[in-house]
This record gives sequence, C-alpha cells and structure tokens, in this order.
Amino acid sequence: MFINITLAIIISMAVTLIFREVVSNFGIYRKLVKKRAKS
Amino acid sequence: MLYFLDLLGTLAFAITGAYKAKGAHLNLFGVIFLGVITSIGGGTFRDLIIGRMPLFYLKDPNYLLIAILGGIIVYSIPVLFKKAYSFFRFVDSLGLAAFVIIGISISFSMLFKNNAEPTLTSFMASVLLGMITGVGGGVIRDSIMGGVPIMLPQAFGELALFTF
Repeated sequence: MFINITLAIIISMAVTLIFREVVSNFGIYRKLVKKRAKS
Repeated sequence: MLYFLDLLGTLAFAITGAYKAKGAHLNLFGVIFLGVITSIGGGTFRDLIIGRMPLFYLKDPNYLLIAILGGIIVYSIPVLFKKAYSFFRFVDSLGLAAFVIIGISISFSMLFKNNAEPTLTSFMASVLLGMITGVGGGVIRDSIMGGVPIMLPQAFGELALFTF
C-alpha cells in the first residue's frame, strides 16, 4: 500500500506527536503555556 | 528497522498498561497481564478480523517476551516511569504511529493483495484496521480497568492516525 513504509512511519510519528503534544489539551505544549501564563 | 520499531511500540504499550495497573495497586500477575493485553491486544484484534493465523505473537514470541519484560520492569521500579513520564509518553507516540502503519500495511496485503486495482473501500478498510491495531490494546486496558477509554475524550492522536 505504501511506496516507502519507513517514510510513512516517520510522517505518521510526526503527525501523531504534533496532535498529541501540541493540539491536544493534555499535551506538553499546553502545560508549558499554562505554566508561563501563571508565572 | 521496522521490526525494531514494532518491538519498541510493544514495549512502550506494555509499559503504559503495566503502569496503569501498578497505579491501581495490582499484584505482579495483574501488572504483567495488563501490560501484555495492552501491547498485543490491538494486533490480536486485527489478526482475528482479517483471519491471519497464527497470531503474530505466536509466530514470533519476542513480542510476548518484550511485553512480559515491560510488565516486570514497571512492577519492580515504578519510580523510574513516574519520573520519566514525558519520555514514555513520547515513546508511546512513536510506538503508536509505527503500530498503525504496520497494521495498515499488513491488513492491505492480507485483504487486497489479489485485487488488480485498489479502491477507496479497500483503503478505508485498511486504515480502519490500522487504527484498531493502534488503539485496540488501550481500549481493552481501559475497559478492564473500568475507566472511559483514554482515546475517547482526547482523540487527537488517534484522529491524526486515522486522517493520515
């Protein structure tokens, strides 16, 4: 199905990390932003 | 490389499952059981649906051994995982992504390899089975532990995998 499965995995990892850590409310990015806003 | 990523994902999933079990003060058996269920649950789901026999962890017992090892490590030194939670969340993300792509690839080659022209339905079915591979173990874990599956309220990662 994939032309290059390793590339597919790498892109998938990047997209997953962005969604889980940046877009999601439970990610590291939001936590850091909240911490900075408090201080 | 692929095999290594697959094993890494298995270990990461086993650690998350076992860590949750350890948090609920289960004994060693419970921790290992939850770890194994979490790591191989999704792949088992996929293999049963597409009729791929023998199951992947029976063909290659390294998956099972890695999952058991992850459970034992978490039971022995839970403090390590409490301190490095972000790191294991990161590893879990990598493992999840690898699991899903491998799941999609396996499903597609099993179900539609004889089709001359791949259709939208075959792509959608493969992507759905890939998603089941990735999140199935976590859903079983959360169902056993009696909580709402973590993918339902915070589905961004899984949504990313599906849309990809």
